[in-house]
Amino acid sequence: MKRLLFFLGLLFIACNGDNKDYKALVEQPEFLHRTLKQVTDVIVHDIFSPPVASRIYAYCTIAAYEAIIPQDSSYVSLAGQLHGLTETPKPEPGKEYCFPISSMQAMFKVGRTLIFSEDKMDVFYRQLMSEVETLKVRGDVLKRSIDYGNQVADHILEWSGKDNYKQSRSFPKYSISNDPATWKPTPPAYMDAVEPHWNKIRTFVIDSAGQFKPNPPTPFSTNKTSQFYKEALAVYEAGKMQTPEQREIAFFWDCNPFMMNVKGHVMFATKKISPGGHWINITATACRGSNASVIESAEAYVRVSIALADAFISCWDEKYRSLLIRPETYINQYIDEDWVPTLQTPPFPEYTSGHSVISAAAADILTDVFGESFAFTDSTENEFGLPSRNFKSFKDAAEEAAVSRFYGGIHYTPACENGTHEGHLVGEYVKINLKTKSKKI
Amino acid sequence: MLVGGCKQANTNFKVVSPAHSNVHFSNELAEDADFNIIQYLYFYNGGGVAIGDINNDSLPDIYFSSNQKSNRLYLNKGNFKFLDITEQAGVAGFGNWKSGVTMADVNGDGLLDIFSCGVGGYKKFTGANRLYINNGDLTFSDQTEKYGLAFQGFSSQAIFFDYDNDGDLDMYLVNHSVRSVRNYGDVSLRFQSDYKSGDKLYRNELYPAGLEKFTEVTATSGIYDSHVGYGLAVAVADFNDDNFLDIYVSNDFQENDYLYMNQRDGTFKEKSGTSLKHSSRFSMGSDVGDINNDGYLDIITMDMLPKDEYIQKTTAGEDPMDIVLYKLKAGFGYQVSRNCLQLNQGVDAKGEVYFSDIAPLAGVEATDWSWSVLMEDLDNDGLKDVFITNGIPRRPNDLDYINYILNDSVQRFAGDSELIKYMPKGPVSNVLLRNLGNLKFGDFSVGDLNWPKGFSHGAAMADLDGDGRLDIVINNLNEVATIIRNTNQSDKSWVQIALQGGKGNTFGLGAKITVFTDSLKVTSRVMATRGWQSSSDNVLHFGLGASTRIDSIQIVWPEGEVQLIKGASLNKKLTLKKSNTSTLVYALKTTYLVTDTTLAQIHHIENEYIPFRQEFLLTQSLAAEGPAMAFADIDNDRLTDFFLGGARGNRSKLILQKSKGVRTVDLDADLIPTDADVVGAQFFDANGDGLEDLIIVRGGQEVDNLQSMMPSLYLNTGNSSFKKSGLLPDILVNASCVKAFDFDGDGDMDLFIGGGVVGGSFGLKPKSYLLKNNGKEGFEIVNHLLPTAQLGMVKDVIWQDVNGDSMVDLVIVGLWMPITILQQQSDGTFKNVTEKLGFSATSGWWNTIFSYDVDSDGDMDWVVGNLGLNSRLRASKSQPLELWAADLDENGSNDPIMTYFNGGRYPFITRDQLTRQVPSLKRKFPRYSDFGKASIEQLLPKNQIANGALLRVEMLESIWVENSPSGYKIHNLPREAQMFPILDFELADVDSDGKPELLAVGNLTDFQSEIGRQDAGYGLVMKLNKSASFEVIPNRVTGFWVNGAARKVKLFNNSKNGITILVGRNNESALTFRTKSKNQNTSASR
Repeated sequence: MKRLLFFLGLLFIACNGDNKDYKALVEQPEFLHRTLKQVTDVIVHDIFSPPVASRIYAYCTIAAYEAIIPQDSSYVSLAGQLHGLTETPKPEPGKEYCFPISSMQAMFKVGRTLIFSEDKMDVFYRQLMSEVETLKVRGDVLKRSIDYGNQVADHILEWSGKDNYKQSRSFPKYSISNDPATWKPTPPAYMDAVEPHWNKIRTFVIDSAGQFKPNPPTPFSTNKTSQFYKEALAVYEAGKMQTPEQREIAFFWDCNPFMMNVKGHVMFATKKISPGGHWINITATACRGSNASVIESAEAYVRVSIALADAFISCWDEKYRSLLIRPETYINQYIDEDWVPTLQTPPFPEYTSGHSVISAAAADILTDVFGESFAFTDSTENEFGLPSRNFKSFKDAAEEAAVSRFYGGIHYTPACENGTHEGHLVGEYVKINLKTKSKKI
Repeated sequence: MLVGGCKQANTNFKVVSPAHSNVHFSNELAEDADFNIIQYLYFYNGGGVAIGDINNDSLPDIYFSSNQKSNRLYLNKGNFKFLDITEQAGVAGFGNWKSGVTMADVNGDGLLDIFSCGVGGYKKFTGANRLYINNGDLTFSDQTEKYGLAFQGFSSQAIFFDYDNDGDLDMYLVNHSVRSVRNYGDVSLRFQSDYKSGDKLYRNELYPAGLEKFTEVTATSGIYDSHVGYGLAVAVADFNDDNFLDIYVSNDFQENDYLYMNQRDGTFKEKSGTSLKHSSRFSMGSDVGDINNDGYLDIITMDMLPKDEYIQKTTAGEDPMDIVLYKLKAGFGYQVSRNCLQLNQGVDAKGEVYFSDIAPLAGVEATDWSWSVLMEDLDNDGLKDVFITNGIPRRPNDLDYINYILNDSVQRFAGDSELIKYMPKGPVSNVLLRNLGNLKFGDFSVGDLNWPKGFSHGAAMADLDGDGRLDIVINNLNEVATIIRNTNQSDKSWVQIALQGGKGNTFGLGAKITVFTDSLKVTSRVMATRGWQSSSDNVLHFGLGASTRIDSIQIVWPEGEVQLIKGASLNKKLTLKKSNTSTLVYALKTTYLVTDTTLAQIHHIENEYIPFRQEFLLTQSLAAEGPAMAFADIDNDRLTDFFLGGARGNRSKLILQKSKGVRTVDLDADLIPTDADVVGAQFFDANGDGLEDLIIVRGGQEVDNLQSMMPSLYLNTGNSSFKKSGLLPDILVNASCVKAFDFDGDGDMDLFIGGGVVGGSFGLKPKSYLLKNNGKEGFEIVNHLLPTAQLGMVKDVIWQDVNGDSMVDLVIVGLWMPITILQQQSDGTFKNVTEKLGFSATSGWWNTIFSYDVDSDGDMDWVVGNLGLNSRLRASKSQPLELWAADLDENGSNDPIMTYFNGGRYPFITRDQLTRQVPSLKRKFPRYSDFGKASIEQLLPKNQIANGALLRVEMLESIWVENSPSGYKIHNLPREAQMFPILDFELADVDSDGKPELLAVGNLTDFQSEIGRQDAGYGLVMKLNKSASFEVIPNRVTGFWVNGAARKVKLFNNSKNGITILVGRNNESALTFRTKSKNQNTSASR
């Protein structure tokens, strides 16, 4: 923090000329979009797993939301609505604030605390602040706004410290079972199972991790006439007879934060945005497309993020309940030893499909916020070398995300279908139970 | 660079300049789009050197392989002058990729032929294997096709030897594989033949058929020829002295090395699972030689463990525990990512040969990215030294590269050249290690060569100038080859032997020669292909130290014939022709002990509990401490019976010895619950009724199972049955041991229960318990008599009157604690006198203590079993191992961090292990390079550093403590006893000379993978010699072969008819050994 305060100090010295129009000028949602995108970039660099990334998004956006709503009394605080969140500090009455700056500051501070590469965040912050400087916000207002953002951030961080995350770092690793039906580490990195105790993380809105427990997966069998074998064979054949478009869809929604490439003796990781991060980007796209204000953007982000975080907890609860074997392991053992899925198998049990669950939940919220037939172009994957894709609606995108896991050879059909159902249940529940503002954008 | 960087003044080795030698060969490697490490994973494997006298002028000639350019043949003109005759000789090699080279007289005409391997039929690789037959006029003819040796695939190297003892040289071809390592597969892959990658065995048809051709016999030979065999090197020797040559293949990656034992019928059996306890993981070059002059041939294999702390921490090393387990479940043998020195321990009664990896004990385990290894005596002291070549142009296992490089520095989907560019370079110095004797290697007169860091691959040795000293030739990458002239000034003796064999094996390849002098016995074997892609001169060189005469030379010819030469002269090259041989009959030697199968069905089954999954920073698991054993005559038939404690989920047993056989009683789980490991037990009379009662204590380290870890007392109700007693108070303790003794002299038996570990918080001191027997009122906890109940992580205890005041005292040993002596005072309390008696600096990794009068001077001495010296851990008073306790992640549980000294004091754990437990430390150490040389001071808060370490280990040696009038003296047990952790001792008269020997058993397999299994022990029998020090009687002489994780050894029966020894093992059957009847009991010959 020392370095951060140092930057701020510099800033205040430089910030001497006031600009009467600064109030209008700070109403730039781009500051918020860019801050969250920076958090995303560092999440990718630091290799956070998808559930852990969703937790970071949730706390960042809650802080941003809580720090901006004093600006508009039609918005309600999430305190009391989210498990364990107590009343957020209030701004001093009668004093002038720039709440968009508070909001950005709160998001930044929570993000910087929850990621590892602080230096990358600081470089970004310096740039951001030099831009804020040009707005010539009155010195005391700027300071007060930043202080308020920090205050809100501290409140959220203190609350985040009680969600069992820290304790869960030393919970036992997943023990590989000899039961042939169960998940085994997968090639090429044979990584440990990711977050086997994520269901012990405090939920945000849903009652408990198991509230929307899906139907069990198809019973495991190696019998060639069994339903399970047929489902595995379907994955295998879909892989073999893949169309270029299916392949493109698979990669578009790959969202693998740590893919180990093996080229001969040489291994190296490539990293992509996490599934949650992908939907955060879609939210940004929708905000921009609908010219959402700062406060509307903060609202959209927080609702999507909370739905994502609860959806991950729900999904992970099922993953480590059913402990289902991945198609790659099953197919290599019982169908074709040399078969390699289109996508690299992520390191956790198969059922349900995480992308299916969280995409359905996120799409429900986005539909609620931006409307049923909100068409958009998703360019999230451009920076990872993939083309944009167009969608008629959020639901359309979520459905494609779900089936992409089947095309990618990393999920059987029920994980995608039942996962989507599970996601809708979480999404609907969050939609109904999380109140921000009654009026839609 | 290699040449220019060498200091030449006052060295024992001098680099011969290319200007003098005319040897300008350099293995020039050019990277392009088609040829690079990404297109071909063995792109950086380099080339080899073959040395042999191609024109029989007694001057060894040199042949180099070049990967991409022409191989070169240099004729030795004497005085380190060479002439390049490649073009006239016609031996440039074939195609655009060449690998291993060797020389052998393939057609039996007395002239060395050349075999060159290549890589081809893959992408743009066009190399192929070539056989160049020597025409006798410095020209060669390519007769590959004619001899049936044509092959194009992934050849690493060939070796010529006579596998079927028919008098001609057959060929084993070791091929590597480009099978993707993305999927480990399992061992069923071994049975899928792969033409280009599978190894091949070719039979020479010269004898008896008289044909100049080879026939491939792989399919019927028992050799695996699949693509999971990433074969990089091959060595051949007769490891079990059955007069048939065996094969050792170095395999890269998940496949373990292969040890093919010759079945003497034209087939081989892969026996690594029996004979080797583990092998190198990324096995590269290998050599075979007798490093301790015991007449048995040892094996050394190269891997890539760096010694340097920074490189160690920033490159991928051992697999995480779960991947280790995954590969074991797939059927692959246990492997370690470091060099192995497999000491040949000889054969057991069934003819199985056993090896002990002693690389860490010998100090040869970590030489970084090593290719070639050659074992030869370079200073003529009679002991084989070790020469290792090193260096990798790019380190693909750099962890920052693997995890971070692509994101930051390289564009996504970058081309090969971009990907390679960011891979860090790995130049490393070559290593010369001097054999100091006693299984120890040290620096070779430091600084002699001052090796620059570079990239060296194949190497070969020969006395190039005939001065009685072995010289070295090295094939370097993109640098001129190095010729090292050995200029060791010494008055030491030597002899060189060139063999003239019979039939088609004209140079006697495969022969084993032993030179006996007035002071030494030195054994070597003739085998050209050795090291890395290379072959050395067939002339054997023997350094003979201070010998003043040769008594005799024994040659065991590969066909199973022996020849004895008497009265040869020193300091000469001798040419010995095969003559006057006698047939050597293969027979197993008789031993003192034979195994008895009476108890072979008594199994201990351990439950799988992996504490490393709960405690990520743990170095050692204490979850497999059983079986507990207790001995007594339960049924009053004057035969010893015993109790065998079960692990969690398995029932304990009572084994009643009967006059004929045994009766096993599985004890009811209602009586002795199976909800925790039974780790300690003793029979004693608890209630004074004259019957043997049973106390058991439990452990297992399961964090969530403490409530099951309660000691229990069972009263003997007669008729060999027991019932649970309420005389013992409820105690919850993850215990290690229990010992009964009447410490207060009131006529009844009291108890000491040792606390083993605090589950979930390794390093904290658990409570031990002192219990006083109050007769019918039961046992009472009297811990107030102890100076503290938290004595440490206790493993063993003895009750003994240490100071002769007729009051019994306690001697306690355990993990991370000193040999602790608690002296009983007249008021019944115990006082800690450890420091007073001089034991304050004895903190060790102690497992067991045993008391007897070692030196027969009338007082009791102790033998104490420690971890030993055969792991990567070292400890001394000034450079101890330390255990720091901190709650780094503030989650309420202790994070034990072990530090060790490696140039400085560093945490032993890797960044991956640390950040798994404490993810926020990624903030402190964003890259592996940031953690590379992080000290404990950087890791822990200042106040914790100031408080000092929680626990320490200052010695790892197993010792005996001499009780002498002038105080206690600590003596190390012999080096062989430092090869493995000792878990138990016993006395037994193994050689039936009327005096008992000291027996030791052990091995521990449950360590964090960076420490790895400690499994080099086969049990030891030690005898005190006249100078009052212990000497080991080899297992092959005693017949005492204890495989596996032994926990207890007990002299079971001792009568005029002989003795029976019982060994309890974890997760295996019990073993029994007995002496043979007197008339059969002849001593073995070696």
